[in-house]
Amino acid sequence: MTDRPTPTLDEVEDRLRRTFATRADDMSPGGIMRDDTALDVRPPGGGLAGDRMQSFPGAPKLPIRHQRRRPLVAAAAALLLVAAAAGAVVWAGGDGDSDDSGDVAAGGASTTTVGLVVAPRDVAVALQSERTVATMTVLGLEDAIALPAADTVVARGDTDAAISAFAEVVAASPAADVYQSWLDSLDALAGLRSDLDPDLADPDRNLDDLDTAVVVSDRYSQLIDDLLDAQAVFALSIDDPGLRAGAEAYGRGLALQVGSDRLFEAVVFAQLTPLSTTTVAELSRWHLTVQRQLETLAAQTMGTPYEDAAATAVSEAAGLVEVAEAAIEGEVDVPVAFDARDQLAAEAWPVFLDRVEALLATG
Amino acid sequence: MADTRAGPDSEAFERVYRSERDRLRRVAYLMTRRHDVADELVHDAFERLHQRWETVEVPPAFLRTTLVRLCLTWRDRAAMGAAREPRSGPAGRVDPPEIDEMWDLLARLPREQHVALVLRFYEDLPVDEIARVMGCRPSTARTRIHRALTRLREEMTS
Repeated sequence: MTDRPTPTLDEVEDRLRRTFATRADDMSPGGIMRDDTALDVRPPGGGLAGDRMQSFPGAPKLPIRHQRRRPLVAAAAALLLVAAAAGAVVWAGGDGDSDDSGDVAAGGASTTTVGLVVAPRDVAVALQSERTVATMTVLGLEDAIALPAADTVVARGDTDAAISAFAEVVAASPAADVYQSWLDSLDALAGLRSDLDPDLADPDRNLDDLDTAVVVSDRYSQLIDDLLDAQAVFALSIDDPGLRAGAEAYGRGLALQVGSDRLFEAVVFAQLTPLSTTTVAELSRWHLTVQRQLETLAAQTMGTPYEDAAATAVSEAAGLVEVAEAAIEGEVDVPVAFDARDQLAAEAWPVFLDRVEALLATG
Repeated sequence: MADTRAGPDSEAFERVYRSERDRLRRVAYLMTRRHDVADELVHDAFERLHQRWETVEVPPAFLRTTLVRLCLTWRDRAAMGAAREPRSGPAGRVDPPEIDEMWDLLARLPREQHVALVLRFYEDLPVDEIARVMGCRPSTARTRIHRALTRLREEMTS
């Protein structure tokens, strides 16, 4: 068997053009989909588009109905469950009689509501940074990788400050019930730090401590996930549909910021231990998680004011997803992985969250 | 109840529909590899144009951007478990083997790379326009195209 000659990129381009031209003919007016019947669709609920397009001769029948619409029954059921669990914290703007938290109405939406929607961001980011510093320090890599904080002491201080500010914001607010259970669970953070201290003090920390690092990362991730769950509960309790959509998009953006960072960490772990089935499984798990989150964000923001911002961020996130896919196949390109992570950290999720915050603030 | 979107723009909308529909169907098919899905997404794109008709300045550009993002989203859903489409073209048609091979190789590319290739080598869009349509930076679009070509070349020799 002889090797095939390597084509030039020009030859690849040429074959691509011919392939596209050939296959595109499958959909040409004279192709297999030709159907001169009237368009047999209407937009949901009828409407002008259906009426107008039905008058077009030659329009194809469309065999698939819309599938991306969120199941209304499921959404309604979820909202009811959430409202019940949260003590019916259903409020937004108008009902200020029972609220003495300094609620300020602006543009039909309460600025306090918006403040409560975005309040978890600083805490999530601080915990994310503390997680990264902790896991890399456990592995003895603190001097080899640029970390988001100088050391664990600084990272913990930043987290504590963010939590204190968060607790002040949510105290006595209509979101207090929703967020309080998370604040009450912070014993877990104290326990995690306590458990971690002996490992951090070990002078022989090295890559053999990968299992410990994975456990540490998971414990931090659980704390962050619980916080984001609380944010999602609060978002679902908002009456105003536009504000609720923004709050949900914001929560998903936060989850993606944290999840993308965890995915990058999994790529690094996989590179450090190329023969470990554990790290490859972790990588696959986070790859799938982030893929699902991206899909959900794109689908849920479609047709909302947040669509463009989400599409841009999702597109920017593709680089890291591609890196993860390559890593799963054992082809990690570390500089490319860092570039993808840096791009996400600098341009994707922070920009998306800032944009959603701005849109929320303007009502 | 009167629909304020109706009126003198009907003919203009129909002209756009007639002039853009077939091209968009072909682009959508190249991106999704499924005739039925391509038709649905093109329909969705026109529906969105119709809803925003009064505010859209360049309908063909709006349609292209909307369709690309719909295709990207659909491929996100498909990637969660749908089987790959078979290579075969229309029944009874036999394509040259190199066309079938390239069609198969395209199915293995990440979705953003696949879409970028369609925009570059079927639509002949410049990189800046591809970036705008896909909602990314030009450097990102350029990287995707380059990586896709490199990967295709590697696969063609393996």
